[in-house]
Amino acid sequence: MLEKEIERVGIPAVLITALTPVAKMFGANRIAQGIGITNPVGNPKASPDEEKASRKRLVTAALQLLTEKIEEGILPTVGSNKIDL
Amino acid sequence: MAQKVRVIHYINQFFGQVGGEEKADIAPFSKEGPIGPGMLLRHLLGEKGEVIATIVCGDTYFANNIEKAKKEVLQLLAPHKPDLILAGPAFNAGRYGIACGEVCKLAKEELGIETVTGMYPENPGVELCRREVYIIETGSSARNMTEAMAKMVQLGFKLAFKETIGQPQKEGFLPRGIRRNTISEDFGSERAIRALLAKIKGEPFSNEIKPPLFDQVRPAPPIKDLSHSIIALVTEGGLVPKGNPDHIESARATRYGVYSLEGLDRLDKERFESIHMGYDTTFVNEDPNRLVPVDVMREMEQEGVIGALHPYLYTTTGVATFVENSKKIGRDIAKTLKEAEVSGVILTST
Amino acid sequence: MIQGQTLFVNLKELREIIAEDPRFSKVEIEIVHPGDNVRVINVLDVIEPRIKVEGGEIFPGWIGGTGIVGMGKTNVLKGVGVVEVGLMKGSQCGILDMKGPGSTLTYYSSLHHIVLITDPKPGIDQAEYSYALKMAGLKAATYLAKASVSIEPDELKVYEIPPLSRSSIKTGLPRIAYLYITECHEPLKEPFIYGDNPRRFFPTIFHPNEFMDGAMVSCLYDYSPGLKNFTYSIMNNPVIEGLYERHGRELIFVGVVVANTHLNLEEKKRSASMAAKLIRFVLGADGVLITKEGGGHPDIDLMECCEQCELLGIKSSLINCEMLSPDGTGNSMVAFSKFANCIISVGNIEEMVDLPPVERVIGGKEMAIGIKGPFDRPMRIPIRLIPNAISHVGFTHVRGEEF
Repeated sequence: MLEKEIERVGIPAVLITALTPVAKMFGANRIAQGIGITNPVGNPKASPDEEKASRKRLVTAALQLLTEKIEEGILPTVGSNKIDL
Repeated sequence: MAQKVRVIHYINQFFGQVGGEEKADIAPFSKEGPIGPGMLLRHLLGEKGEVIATIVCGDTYFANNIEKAKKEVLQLLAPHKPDLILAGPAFNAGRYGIACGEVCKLAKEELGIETVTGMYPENPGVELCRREVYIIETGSSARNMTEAMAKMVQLGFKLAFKETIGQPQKEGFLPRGIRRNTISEDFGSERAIRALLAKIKGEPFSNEIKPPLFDQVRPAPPIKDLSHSIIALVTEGGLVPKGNPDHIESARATRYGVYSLEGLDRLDKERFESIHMGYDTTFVNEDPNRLVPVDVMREMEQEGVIGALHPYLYTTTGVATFVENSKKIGRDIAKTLKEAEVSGVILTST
Repeated sequence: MIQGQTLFVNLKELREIIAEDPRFSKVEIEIVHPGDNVRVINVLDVIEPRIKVEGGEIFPGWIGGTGIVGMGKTNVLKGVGVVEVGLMKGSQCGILDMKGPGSTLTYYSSLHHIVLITDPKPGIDQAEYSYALKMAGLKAATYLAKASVSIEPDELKVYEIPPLSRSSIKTGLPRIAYLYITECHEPLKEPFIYGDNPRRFFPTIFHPNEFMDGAMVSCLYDYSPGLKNFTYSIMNNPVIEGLYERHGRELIFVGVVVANTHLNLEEKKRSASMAAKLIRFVLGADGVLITKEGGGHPDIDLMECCEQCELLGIKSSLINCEMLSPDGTGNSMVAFSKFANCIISVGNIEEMVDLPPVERVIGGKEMAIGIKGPFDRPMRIPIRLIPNAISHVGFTHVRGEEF
């Protein structure tokens, strides 16, 4: 699990994936809810402008996690199951 | 085999009758024949084996000088050319367990000698060597010495005589995290129905796949000032320059690629593609920014939200279950990022 | 024609029927027997010859109309299989040895197979080819079974469970449901139900007999054999057979729920809740056996279904494969629920199997997956390439164990 190896050397890393239960099971520290399995930071159903805007929102939220202090054993995640259009 | 199995016994300062905690810093030494519980060992080996030598080392000495101690123990071991090494049993003693595990790993890797040790499941030494070393499951204290040693001897003989080693429950060792396919008497469907009925009745039932145990990594300290940070992008979705110049494997990759993002405001489909076989790559190939968000990262760099986008993209094709590969790739990428003084990473995965 | 225990096949006639389909440029038929020193490559599906004698049709949506099946009388040619073979480039396929170590791992090597070896017409897309192949397989299965229509069967098996209203009488026996999670997406990843690819369907209830008449057939050509259920295994689902065997004695078999595997978390959770609802509040089950198809993320659907059922008080047991490294290390599954304490393993799909050289290879000169010929040489392949060695419905003796 790449996220853990990067955190292990002291660099905060956030994993954006649609399959957050998998990431949780593997013990990733920082997880952001991706949009789709085949498009973690994309939303092909939206118009190009809307897609880019939602991508920016998701990446902004993920970057936010990098600035948060994480307590050991408590996994903060951003995003919900719903696709935020 | 008419010859006796030549066994070396590794024990700590206490069992080696040197002293207690105050003597835990002694360097390793070797003595001919058995010492202390080695006498019991000699008895258990019977006619089939003999304790040709005992190696004693202080637990603290080993724990504080692991590499040095390993070299010294190796030098004491090698000349005897033993057939088998039995270490401990360490029961629940942590430093002793770690030492036993290291000695066994070392002997197997460097000299190809079969080894067995014994520990209580919660001994910290277990996690360090359970994959490589046979660890007989013991109780938490030396009260169970005889039983523990008897099992170590039994398994040790099997290894020395190159017999097939059975399953953990049968042979008495702790599961090593290695699974193999076997042939059951019944169809899987029958076992599932029987297990379900037993579970409903409140009777004991089979469970053939246990949840995995993962090491938790201490969370890295947060970025204090995002506007001055260097953020790197890493992906497991197999995004590569068109044509896959480095021939990254399309599934379960053993390698990763490093590609320059310099001068790119976004990723465009003429120059990048995904070669990942495990998912439908149509959407990503239409717009690679759906996998690696270079476009919005560049915008945020220009807006001053982040200090800079790290100029290189690290890419591989991941499958979560291939732990060994992803550990190695992860460690390599982490090292590179650390050397480049990257502040934070966004990882995307399909 | 059937004489005693022997089926005589008119190869010319069968070949003509299959070759009628303009989507094929070439059709060849071979027959292989258990113990033959032969390797069949490019195996895409295996089907059991069956035909309706009375009370409905067979293979609805393909051979029969879309009316409900599972009633009346169906003749089964036990011991016979129809194998669909073709080069589906860029896709998956299987390798079936009829003799040797590879054969001992799968039930399918114990069948006499009529192998349909087809070439697609140049230029047609894979989806069309897949539909042509499926139709060919089902046509052949029906054609062969026709020989049994006027013959007295050797064995008669009765499969009957009453409608729910009558099975609600308290018997003291546990009420058991079967949740079959399939995986249904775009073409080449399509199990067909009554001739339709429903893709985004909500979980729904089936009578177990419907599978026996071919209500669900597999066009999951894009899946490695170890990750999908072959049509033969769907029609002969051993979970259904096993529950029927015990029905009325050890348990009451209340029915089957079929659900799909979904591509995002919200859909996975919704589907799982709906399946659990049917099992608890409509079928009134005390216990459920759950199986799935596919690898990787379908583990999440399996776990979500398990969790939702357990939360409603239904005890669950699961069947799953393990996706480890070839050396047996790694994590068996990508998802887990704390409620999943009863999982039956059908083996590590990546464990290697050594196949010996064979005298004869049928099924083509190249394989859809990247293995290079010649194919009569010794080969080392992952066990998932052997059809039905790894079986998600537990139609196998292979399992995984700690070492």
